[in-house]
Amino acid sequence: MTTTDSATITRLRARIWALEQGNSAPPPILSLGTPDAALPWGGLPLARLHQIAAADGSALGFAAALLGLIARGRPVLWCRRRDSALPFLPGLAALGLAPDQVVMAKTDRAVEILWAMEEGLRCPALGGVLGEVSDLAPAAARRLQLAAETGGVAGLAVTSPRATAGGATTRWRVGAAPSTPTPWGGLGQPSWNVSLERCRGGLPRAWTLEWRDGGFVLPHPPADAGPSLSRLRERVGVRAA
Amino acid sequence: METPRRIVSLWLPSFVADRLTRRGASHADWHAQPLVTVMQQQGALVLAAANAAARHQGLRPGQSLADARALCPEIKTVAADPTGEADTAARLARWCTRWSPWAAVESLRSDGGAGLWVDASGCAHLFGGEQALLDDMIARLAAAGFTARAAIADSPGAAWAAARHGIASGSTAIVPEGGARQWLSALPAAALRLPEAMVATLDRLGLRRIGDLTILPRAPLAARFGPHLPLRLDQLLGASAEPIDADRPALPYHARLAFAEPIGRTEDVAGGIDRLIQALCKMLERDRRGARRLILTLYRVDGSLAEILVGTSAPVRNPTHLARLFAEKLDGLDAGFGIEAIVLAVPVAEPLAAQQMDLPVEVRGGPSGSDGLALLVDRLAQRLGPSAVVRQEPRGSHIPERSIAPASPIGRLAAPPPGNAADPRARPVSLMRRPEPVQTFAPPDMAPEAPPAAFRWHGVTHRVARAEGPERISAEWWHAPTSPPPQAFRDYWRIEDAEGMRWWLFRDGSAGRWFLHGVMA
Repeated sequence: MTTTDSATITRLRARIWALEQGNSAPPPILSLGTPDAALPWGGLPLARLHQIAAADGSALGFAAALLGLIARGRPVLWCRRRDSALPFLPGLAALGLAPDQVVMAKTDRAVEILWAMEEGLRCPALGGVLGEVSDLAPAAARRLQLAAETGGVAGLAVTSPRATAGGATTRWRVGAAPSTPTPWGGLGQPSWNVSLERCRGGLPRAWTLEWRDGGFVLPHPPADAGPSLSRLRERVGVRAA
Repeated sequence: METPRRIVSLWLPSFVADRLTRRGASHADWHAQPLVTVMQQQGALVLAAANAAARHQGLRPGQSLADARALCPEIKTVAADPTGEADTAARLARWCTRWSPWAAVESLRSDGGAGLWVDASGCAHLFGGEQALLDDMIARLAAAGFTARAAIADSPGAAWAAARHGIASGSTAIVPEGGARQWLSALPAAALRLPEAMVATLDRLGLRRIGDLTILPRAPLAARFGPHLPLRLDQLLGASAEPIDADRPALPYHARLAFAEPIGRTEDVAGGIDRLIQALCKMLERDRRGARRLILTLYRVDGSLAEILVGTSAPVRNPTHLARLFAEKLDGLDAGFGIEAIVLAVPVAEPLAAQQMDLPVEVRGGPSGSDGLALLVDRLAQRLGPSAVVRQEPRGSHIPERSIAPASPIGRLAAPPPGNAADPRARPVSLMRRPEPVQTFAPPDMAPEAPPAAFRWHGVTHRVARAEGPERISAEWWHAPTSPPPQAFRDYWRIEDAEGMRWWLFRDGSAGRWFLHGVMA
């Protein structure tokens, strides 16, 4: 496929998407780099709700990094249960979230997280909202989706791996991936196995992504990641067929 | 022209008994029966207070219970409760702030009566004149279950005398402005709030009425009876100031709304609050201040109060903002038998520069600017609690759990302390609430300082693929009262397991045990 073709396809997809949405203006799009090709918008639409099913504890780091990209320095709201592990801002700074940017709301009950997220999504002063919810019922997801569209704020719902497939615009599954070791055998850059599980008009795909220089990139050097990447592509291909 | 001082003295002659038999109280059904409270006095039970029915039977406070039972066998007795009585009187005084912001408990007397002050200077016209004000007080206190007498005069002393001794018929008395000397001259000397012994002495001397005393020169009176008597005379005539010590200061920003009919629907209350907020915001704007804390007091028909407290993260005088904060709190409102008045006050206000309030919010850069964030934070804090909405501020400590502190969600954070910046890549993204012990599996040739080959946490074994460390963090000896032992340190390791999960583990220096302290990105 030539470059012109892919650009045309992207433009056509955007038109089709706009037609499907009725009159509402298309949301601003955030380019994620490699995963853009699988998304019908050519990037991640902001002002929408995105679900991140956490295969393990590392998904929170991925969500935080994504939140930092979405917010671009604006304040963000981080909603969590009082008894969950404490987000540690000194460490989050490495993922692009500055301490003065993150307003944290802790709640006693799960429903209050959804309420706080909805309040945050309706507040245009925010750059993004992250909620650590265990489950995301379709009705709750639709409420949050509506709030995100109203306020123009992107929402990330980090759910358990077995959470209901709710009404979020995209659904990702994120788990840890072994990092590319440093030349001296130390820990490499943070890495995740990221799969796009559900996205209307998009292709279910999977990648191994690495956090490097403030963005998600394919692991470097590619020779190391090659086998696992092709293996994932095979798996996705089987599922698509 | 200065508004003349007008003081209302309320006398509740059977306060203690009324308190027990008022609606909703524990002995409310005993209203018509002889009822006394008793207390221990020198080993004997004596009457502390008696209600009207008991007095009618000839019972008086101070009698022994045995005598009382002889006079009236069917008497009901309740243990006296001085603390509860003082509490009720204080609440009643606060309820009286519905008429004037300045109200206080005057005294709780041993005969079971109570007195209240209400400074009604410049207030009476709001209630249709002084007579209407006094009638309103009597009627509302009666509805709340208290028999009362009320008198208004230029000075607390004159009002007190009129309420206790000057009411011939009915239950209200108005001492006209400047007419205290003439109006009160026929009252007995006891109306001067004097000790009983002094009243008896005056009586022996033929000085039975206030009028007998006011015409005498003060100097000989002071020489004979001490300074107390001339002071009381001056206080009665308003020549000597007598401050009323109200239990809460009048708030500079407060607005009040009374309803013609009691209201109970939340929507109606919210409508009333909106009007008060508008009025308050005008006052605040005039002084270029914004509210940090607001108190809404709801006066229920039955004489009880409900208070709603609201705090803000930054000075606010945007009516919409404030109204939304109250809307959050009105959900579980108990209106009781109805709400007859509401008062909104701002106890804490801070300077806030002038703003153009009439422009639409969007034009001022409202919700998209810092204003919008302040509103969001206030709404969240209102429902979740003020300590639940915070940011993290760096603090000068190397111990991870002490290196951050909760900080205000709005405004500028403190600068990070110098020399404390750890590499953020060496810190976890989430920290366990407390370090959790893990079981470790050492390689056969393991040195004590080496990382484990595997560790077990929550029933899952993680094989260590790579490890970086140790990063030694020692106890902060400069904070400890005694020097900590040299082995009080933690050796932190960044560990990646076979699946790629990264953990932050440490080995405790003193015990040599391993703990999981966080999850790395």
